[in-house]
Amino acid sequence: MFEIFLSKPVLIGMHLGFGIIGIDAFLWLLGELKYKGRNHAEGRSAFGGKAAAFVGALSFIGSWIAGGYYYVTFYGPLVRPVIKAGLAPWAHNIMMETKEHIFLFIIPLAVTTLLAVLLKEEEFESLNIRKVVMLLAAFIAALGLVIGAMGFMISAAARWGVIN
Amino acid sequence: MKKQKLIYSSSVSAILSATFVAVITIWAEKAPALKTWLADLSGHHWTSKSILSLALYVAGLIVFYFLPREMTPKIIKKYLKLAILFAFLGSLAIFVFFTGHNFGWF
Repeated sequence: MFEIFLSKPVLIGMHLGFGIIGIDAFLWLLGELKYKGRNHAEGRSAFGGKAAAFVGALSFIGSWIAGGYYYVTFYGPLVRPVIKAGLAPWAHNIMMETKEHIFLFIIPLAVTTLLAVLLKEEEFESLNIRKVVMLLAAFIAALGLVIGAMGFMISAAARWGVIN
Repeated sequence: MKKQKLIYSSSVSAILSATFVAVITIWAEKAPALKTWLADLSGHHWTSKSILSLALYVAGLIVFYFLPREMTPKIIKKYLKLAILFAFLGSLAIFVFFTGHNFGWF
């Protein structure tokens, strides 16, 4: 039963699925911060960003573990040679090499964002960090999307490598 | 106040971690002995970079949290912005390096 979770398609699915949830969660946080900004101006308050940041940080950690295990165990010996011998070796040389390393930037940024939104509402407002935390959430989501696009190109290169 | 210091130390550690990943990644590509050392450390160079960057982040979080420094909104905002900037520049540096490496520019 447990070996199913460590199989190639499930690991890829978990890597991608957690990644998508992470991106969505930080976009959700972005909306919460913007929406809350309006509410605050109107004198109402509803700070719902904590759940979004928590889900986002946890999802990216999940994506990191699943993707990392797949990369180290299966990608190197099985997929990398197919891409390198195929029509688009640059998909590994540029995209995968970049993707695997810039992913490491996400977790510290996601945890930093989580710590910022865990502040009490009054403290968060008094620090006047709403805009910079919004920028941080947007940057994390954008970085996640770029990494996702690179992953798509790598998968496509592997498929065409096999067909070719 | 303690939570504010935690945000500050997390931002500084994220900056250090991003710098470390960018520098060691490019350095290891130019110095095979370093890449071999990283691979020998955990069995795979990427796993070693992951562990070391995480360890650096956690260590930085603790060190900068306990180092005396007065927290002001300006400082917290400044380091949050720098954390974004360093991650952006680190991503750009890695992408440009591997693009150049692929095309034999360097």
